Amino acid sequence: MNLARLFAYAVIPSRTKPVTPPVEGGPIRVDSTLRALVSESIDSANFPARSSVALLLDPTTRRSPIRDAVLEIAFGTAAGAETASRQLATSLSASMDQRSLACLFIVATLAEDDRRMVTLWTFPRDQAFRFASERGTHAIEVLNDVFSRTSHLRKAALLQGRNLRSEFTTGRVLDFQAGKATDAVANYWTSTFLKCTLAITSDTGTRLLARTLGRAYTACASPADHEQLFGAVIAVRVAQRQRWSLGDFAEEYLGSDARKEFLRAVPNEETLASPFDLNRPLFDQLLHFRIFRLDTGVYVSSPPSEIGRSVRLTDGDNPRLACEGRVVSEKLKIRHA
Amino acid sequence: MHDELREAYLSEARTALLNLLRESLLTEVQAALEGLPHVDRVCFRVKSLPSFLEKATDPTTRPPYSDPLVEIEDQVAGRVLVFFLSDVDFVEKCLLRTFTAVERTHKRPAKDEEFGYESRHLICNIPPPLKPPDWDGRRDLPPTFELQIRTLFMHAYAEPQHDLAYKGPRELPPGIRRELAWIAASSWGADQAYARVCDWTRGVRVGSPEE
Repeated sequence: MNLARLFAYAVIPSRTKPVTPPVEGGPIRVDSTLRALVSESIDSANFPARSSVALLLDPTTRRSPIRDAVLEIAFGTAAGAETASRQLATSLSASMDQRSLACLFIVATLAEDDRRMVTLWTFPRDQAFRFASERGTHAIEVLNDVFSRTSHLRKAALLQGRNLRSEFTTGRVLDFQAGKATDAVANYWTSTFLKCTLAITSDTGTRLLARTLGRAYTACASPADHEQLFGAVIAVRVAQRQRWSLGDFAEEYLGSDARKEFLRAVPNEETLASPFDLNRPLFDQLLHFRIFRLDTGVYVSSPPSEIGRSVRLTDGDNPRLACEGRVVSEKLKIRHA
Repeated sequence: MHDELREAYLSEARTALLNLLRESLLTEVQAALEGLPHVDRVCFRVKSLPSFLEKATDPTTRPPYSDPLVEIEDQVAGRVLVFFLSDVDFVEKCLLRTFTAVERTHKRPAKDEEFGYESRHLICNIPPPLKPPDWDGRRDLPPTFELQIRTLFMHAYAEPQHDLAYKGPRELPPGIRRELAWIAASSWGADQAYARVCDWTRGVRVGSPEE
């Protein structure tokens, strides 16, 4: 795709101010250096491995301020694209409070046939040194009007498609700060500015995690891997963190074969990277029982909370199980399951 | 264009992907609604070729489809049938905890004094975990799917009527149109009566004549 349009604005946080100040900036003439820079930034952002998001749209019109602006930037006239870019820059300013740094906001549109890729970037203001050495005289100059291209505080969003009713409704977001956090301040880029929600809803993500764990559990042969998967279930249920992706989960809790089988059960790369908010009651409901089959033909079905208490398992490659409790009911069935 | 579209729609790889999506959506909707009372059935289908071609070339569509393979959003569509009117809202809320809707419509006659097709329609993004392999890599697949939620009585009117209208002549004679309107009105009335019965069973007294 070719870089077709580029806009840049200096944005100052103004959410807590009574009036949003006008932003400085506008269209940038595209040259080969900028083409290379945008291309490099897109490559390094690695969007296929970033969070999938869905734009929150008016369900009767499919419109949202962001979608409208992005479509205008992608397909509108040059003047329309400039107005829409400025609106986005102003909206970004109004979304940021003093906890965020002033930034350079860049809107880059790439085109190929009737397809467009619109990328939105913020690069935080930084300080840099310029060192000069001439004829034995050395000097350091502090530059205050620079913006960091590689900062961990940079953010980006990518939306792409054609000018169709069904397209430009989802995108990818790079935001290292938001990551695990669920609050609106940490998520100002995605929720306040872009007005997006996670593409994997809480319930779908929770069912996905349960399903993936179940598949990994079935695929793993060793008791040690089963223990690790079970330990991960227990740990995530009580973890303070609410937002997870399957990739985060594997990294946090799983190693060796358990991890390999878990990752093998993930449907696709987009899913691996996309976060969701764990619905704990639903997760408990889905993984409510751990079922053991013993060499004697006996099945033991236990809620996770009883493992290690009334249901005791020994360690090792051939673990043994013992359980004790008062019988309060019994059923006669032809088969176990 | 008709032949090209027919060939593209029926391509083996594409059909396989649509069917995979249909299966994964069915599983997800069944899981989302598991344990809910008053859900009669959940079903999903891949749009038939004649139905797709009819929609793709419908001259009344404004603006006309420029790429029907991508733009027609009910190529994979599901339907949830529920017992009572109040279940429609409830099921819709449950489904919106699973899917992100880009469009929500309450299909019903434009005028209060008319009776006809009624249903709740959602157009939703396909969630990443449910996308079959290489879904995004291809450029001939829709990014969305359709979900309909309706009562058994809404369905009792809609489905046979759709079948008859599809197989019958384009213009129906006035007497037949009136018969269909009567069926629609009766279905609407049956839903309203069931709603009153439901209210009564919940212990809410309503002003019905039999009270």
